[in-house]
Amino acid sequence: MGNITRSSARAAAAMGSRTAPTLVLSAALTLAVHSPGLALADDTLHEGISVEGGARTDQKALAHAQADVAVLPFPGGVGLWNGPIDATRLEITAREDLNPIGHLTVEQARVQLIRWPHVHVLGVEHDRRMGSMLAAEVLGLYVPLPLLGEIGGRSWLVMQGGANIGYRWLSTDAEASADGHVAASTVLLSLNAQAALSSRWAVRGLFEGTYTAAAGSIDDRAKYGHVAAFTGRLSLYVDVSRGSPIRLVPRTDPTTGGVTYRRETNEGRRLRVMLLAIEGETRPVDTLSTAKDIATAKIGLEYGY
Amino acid sequence: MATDRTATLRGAALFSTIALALLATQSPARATSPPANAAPDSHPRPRSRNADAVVENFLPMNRTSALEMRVAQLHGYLAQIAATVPTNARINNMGNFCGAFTFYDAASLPRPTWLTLTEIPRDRSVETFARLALECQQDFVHENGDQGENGAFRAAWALDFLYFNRLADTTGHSVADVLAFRDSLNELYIATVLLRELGRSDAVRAGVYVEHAPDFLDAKGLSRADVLRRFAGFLSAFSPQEQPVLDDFIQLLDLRQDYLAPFGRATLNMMDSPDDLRVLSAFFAYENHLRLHPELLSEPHGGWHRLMKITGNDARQAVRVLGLLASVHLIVFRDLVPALAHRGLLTPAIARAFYEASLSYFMVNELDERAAKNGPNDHSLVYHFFFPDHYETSNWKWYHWYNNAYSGCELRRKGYPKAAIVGAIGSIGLLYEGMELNMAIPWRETMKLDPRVNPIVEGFDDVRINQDGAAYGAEICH
Repeated sequence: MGNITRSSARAAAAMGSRTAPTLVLSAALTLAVHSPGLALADDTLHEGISVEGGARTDQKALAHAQADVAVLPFPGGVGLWNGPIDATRLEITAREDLNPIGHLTVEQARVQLIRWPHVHVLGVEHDRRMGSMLAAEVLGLYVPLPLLGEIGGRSWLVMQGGANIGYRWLSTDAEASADGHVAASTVLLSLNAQAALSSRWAVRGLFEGTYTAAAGSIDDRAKYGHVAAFTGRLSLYVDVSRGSPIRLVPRTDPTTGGVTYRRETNEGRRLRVMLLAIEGETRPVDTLSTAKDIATAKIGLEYGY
Repeated sequence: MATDRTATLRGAALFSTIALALLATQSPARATSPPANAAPDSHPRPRSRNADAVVENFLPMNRTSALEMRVAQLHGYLAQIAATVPTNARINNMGNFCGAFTFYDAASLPRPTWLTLTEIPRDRSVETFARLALECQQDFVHENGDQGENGAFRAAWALDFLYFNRLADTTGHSVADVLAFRDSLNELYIATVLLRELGRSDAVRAGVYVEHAPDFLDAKGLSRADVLRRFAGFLSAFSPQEQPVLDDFIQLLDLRQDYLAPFGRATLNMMDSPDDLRVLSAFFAYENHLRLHPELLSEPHGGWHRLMKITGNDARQAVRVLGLLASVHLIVFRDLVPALAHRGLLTPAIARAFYEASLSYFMVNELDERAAKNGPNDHSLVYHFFFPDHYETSNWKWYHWYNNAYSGCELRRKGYPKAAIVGAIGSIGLLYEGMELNMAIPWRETMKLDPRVNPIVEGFDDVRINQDGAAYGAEICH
């Protein structure tokens, strides 16, 4: 474990902070969406289709697309649900070097049969931030615990804790510290929040701590490695769909006999603009990959719930 | 590098600030447990208009003639509601709409239910369901001997489906009015089934042999409900004091092989108890009285005050009767009534009890909704009417509270400490809600509603109200 280093990555990160104007300009020109583009950080509490683009402090521009789609019927078949459900998540993050410009790379790509807040089943991914040329998430189980939020409310804070098990093919071609094949398990604790500022404006936040332990053949020797990462994201959304996202529900007040109203969310997906997202990731421990600490600024679009 | 780290930390700090701000503004509408030292209902309270109300008796539904009259009344009511919808109104696959429909179908088939709803203009759905329910009764008598009552049940479920998902108002009626209409559909279903089964029971008692397939009363007791037991075993590693409570709770549920009906034996015991039946009938009459006198709904906790009057301030009896009737409405009714009839055991008294218990489940919900106060925020209501004075909740699922108050009481009587009971009920609730997320997410997707956050928030709110009920039950039965 001790022979895996990250010095070159840290040097590149240090350069990134000196090119902010270039990065902002590049971000504005880059199409993109809604997934963090950070290793492990994920947002299973929102469902839909999204694109994001941005730039980060390691002098890369990012484009990310994500979709929750109906691909396969839910286990149990047509008889149970009478059709497929939107459990399958597809996502891809591409990055391009900005200094010098060029060298487009797929940083992360994932297909996962079921990616729900409480259960992940059969995922396959390529993730350079984890040094994985290819990885499989066999099963992940999580307990979501709402710390804040009410039925029908539009603001909430949900904590999730859990773990997954899977396999990772570590490859230096995918920015791993060393080549290898390992069994891996990631323990996760996250806080996921949304604060509705009005019927159309909302701030979302995600803070996540993960610890990945991996053991197997690394550099043709039996070894183990690990990654501890903390990621955070804060983003501002505005709903630009036609029609109000909420409606007024009248009722007769039992005491006064007068009509009062409460607000209720309307059906259907909404188109939202992510005006800005600021993300950051730091890794106090990482013996698997050459990934470095980064901060990212993004803009994007989302069509979802 | 230092700059990067600083940016990351600032982001995390900002997020934490927002999270803390959100925590600080948590709504007081959240369900709250009674204080541990509260002695429920021991304080003298001011006069209650609900407790003092002179309530007229409701005609007992224990004879076929009474049931026939009620069915005719309900037909007339539905015809009035449906007056603006053509008499030949149809939807695709009317046969399916009018065909057999059980709670199991209702729970597991969101897409067909939703498709039925989407076939009908939403703002005409109440009127159209009234028409369709009538059409089912008049034109679709089925090979399995039903009288088309399943259409009424299915329509009631579809409206419930809207209500569960906070869409009842999109029918163009107030939420409470939609529930009142739903209750009429359910009453039609219940009355029609009881009418048939009472006739069958009478025939059996008269010596007419009626063959029947193995049913609920033949089913083996599921003393080892495997999933629950395994979960209990797993939990015991973390909380040994909860293990025996979970074991006894599973026994209390009294599940049977191939059936989901809970509390079957306890429900039958209640129906053998003249005093419990008196409470049930008096409460049912009071609910009907409230419909005619909605001004009584303005009294905070007025329904509970009435319950205390009916039971002679016996909160244990109140949570037993309402806790058990809360489980009768769909599954127990469907499983137990035919089984009793096939054996000639569906007596007039039991038929009446099933009628009143099944309907009370819905009527408590309807009246609770009508009596609720506006919450402190822009989207929630505060339900109080049928809860004790110290308790109110923003969760409409009154039956969770009563079910678990009954369970908490029974478990406390076995000597378990309140903390272990509340913990065990929380654990079993967590398992149940976790499993139900697998259903709630596709349901919500089907309906084009947020499928992820809301089911999680609602699920945990349900766990909380379960624990609140269990805590109350444990307190009153120490």
